[in-house]
Amino acid sequence: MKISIKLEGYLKYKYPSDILELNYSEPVTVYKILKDAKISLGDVFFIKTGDKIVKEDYLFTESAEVKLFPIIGGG
Amino acid sequence: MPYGYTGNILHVDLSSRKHWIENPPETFYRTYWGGRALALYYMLNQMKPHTDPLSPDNLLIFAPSVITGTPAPALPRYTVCAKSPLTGAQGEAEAGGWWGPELKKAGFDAIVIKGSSPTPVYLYIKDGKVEIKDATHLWGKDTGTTQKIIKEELSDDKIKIAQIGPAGENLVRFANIVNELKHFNGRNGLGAVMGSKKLKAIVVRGTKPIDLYNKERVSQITKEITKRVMDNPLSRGLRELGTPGVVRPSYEAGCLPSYNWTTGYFKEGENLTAETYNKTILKGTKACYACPIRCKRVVEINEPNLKVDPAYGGPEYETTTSLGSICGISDLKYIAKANELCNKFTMDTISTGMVIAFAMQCYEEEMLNKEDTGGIELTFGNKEAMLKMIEKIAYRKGLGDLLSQGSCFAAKKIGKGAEKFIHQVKGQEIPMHDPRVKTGVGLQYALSDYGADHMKAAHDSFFKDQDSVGIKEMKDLGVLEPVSPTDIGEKKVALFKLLDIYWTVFDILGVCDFGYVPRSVGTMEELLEIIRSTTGWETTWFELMKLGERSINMARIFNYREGFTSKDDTLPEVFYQNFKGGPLDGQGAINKEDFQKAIRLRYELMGWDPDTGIPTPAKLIELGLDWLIDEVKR
Repeated sequence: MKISIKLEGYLKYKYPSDILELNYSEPVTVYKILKDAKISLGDVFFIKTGDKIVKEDYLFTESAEVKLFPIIGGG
Repeated sequence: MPYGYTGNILHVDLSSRKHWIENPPETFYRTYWGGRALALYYMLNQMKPHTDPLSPDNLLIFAPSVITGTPAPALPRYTVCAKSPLTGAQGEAEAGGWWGPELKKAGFDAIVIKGSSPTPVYLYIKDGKVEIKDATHLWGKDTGTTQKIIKEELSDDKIKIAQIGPAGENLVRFANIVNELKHFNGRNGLGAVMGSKKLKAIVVRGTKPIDLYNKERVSQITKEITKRVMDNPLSRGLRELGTPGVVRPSYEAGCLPSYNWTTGYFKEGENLTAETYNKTILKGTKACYACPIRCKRVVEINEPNLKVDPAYGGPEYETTTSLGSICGISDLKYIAKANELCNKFTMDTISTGMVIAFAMQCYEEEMLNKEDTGGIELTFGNKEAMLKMIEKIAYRKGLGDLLSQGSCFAAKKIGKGAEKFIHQVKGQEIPMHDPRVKTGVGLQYALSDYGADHMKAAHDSFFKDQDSVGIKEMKDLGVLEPVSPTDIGEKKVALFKLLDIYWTVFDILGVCDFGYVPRSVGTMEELLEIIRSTTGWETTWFELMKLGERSINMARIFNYREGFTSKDDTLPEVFYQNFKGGPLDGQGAINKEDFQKAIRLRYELMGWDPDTGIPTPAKLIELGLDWLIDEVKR
């Protein structure tokens, strides 16, 4: 299954590409995907797949697109 | 006189048209430093409790700090303080731009203004000389026109002008003060205090550089930070997306404040994102004094029926939301126009959007009708209606007169249960960050001495993981462990005690939150070194944190004198309910009992009485505020 990761906001500037694709042969958690993609959890505020906001322990069982939104502050 | 200071505090009495200069000793400067701490010293000593905020007896204080005007990055800010006509509490607002540094170069560390002029005037301060000049011909003029006239009549294009527009003159209780047309002392209605004194503007011009203890070291740190700013993704995000970069995460997650906080889900959110902003209305970016980040937006619109002048900057995140989704409006061009109008009139965009959204909800719920609105169809999403209401508020016409007094006042007057549609703390309308996804922000809304404010501490998201920038970079303060953004337990309370004091130090010193950790690249050590190299004082973060804590206690006592109690440290009811609609539907409610426990624990951590929230005499002694002990014994 293919997990496509889309980086939003300043994450686009921090990592080499704003779209990453990873392939897995078995169910995988968000936590493992971020680790494999070398994306720091400290940079990520919201994780969205489809219309859902999910946590790091969310388990993907089929191909999906994941959007990662950066930490946000006042301004 | 210590390095970094001019040694001069200017006092102006507008009633008698007299001014004089105070030269405080070094111990005074080292105790109160500048900004809100210095201002509160005068407010507590010279103002009687229960002073009418719009009377001549209110003090209006402009105070940069010891490091304002040095060449180091992101230190341009200055504070304005007075008793707030919106909240009745200590009022405070910081602004960036160029005015604060120019005041220092003109020879003053602060200006303390009392009294009221019978006719409109402006202050002209040039290289230590002070004049009170007639402003009758400027009264009623918008900010752009006023700036143009003053620059022409003084024949000096380099002057810096802090001023009010018609909203300040008309005593709108959320009028603000602007410098250079686009840098605001927003919130708290300090522009109305200026208006009540008939003070149209303060014009400053200075040519004397700040005297630094170690100029070479300041220059070296400046180069190091500036170099890193160019590559750092957080700083780059601020430069390329600006604060509107907050829109996309909030709208996609379903926590973008919309329709007067009835939902966080805004279907047209894409229209408000920084990416759309950049493609449609952005003309360029600007920087404050000595800042390499350049986060300020400049917009321009040139359409037959809609023109927006780039001189007034462009909407920030707060404005994009408060004059956008909170009013159900998704047209960035109209939001930019509304922002321009608020800037010309000098009205706080958060409160303006919030009072209009409140009125829209009242209209839709039939608590207001067309007769009340003067024929305006005041429904959510009606962008023309929003523009008309902004003008009515600034000039206090019809329903605008009622709304100009703030949402609390308006709700009481309307009655019929309208109070359930207002969202405020201590009378100030809440900003555009939802505490249900960042509980520490909620704690700060509740505990802020000047009413709900989103810049009272860094936000929870910077401390969520062991890898988070706040955890990696703020160990000097003892910030070692991450806490979930939605946690409201003991660790969150302890963390936000530190963060509150830390950003209060920023406010006192005129440090931009976007220049230093956790929001950007300047480190705590670098900031400390800038202060040491400016002053020659071998200061430490211990001393600076005590300074921050001192000012928080001074503000607490000021508010206690005015009748504020622990009952005022609250959150609006909406945050104790789950989100409605969108990805977070049915989630998010903050547990009210847990929140109240958190407030009580925070009192204890601050050395305040856990029941009343009043500072204890022991705490005051610890902070060198023994002169305030009688105030808490009353």
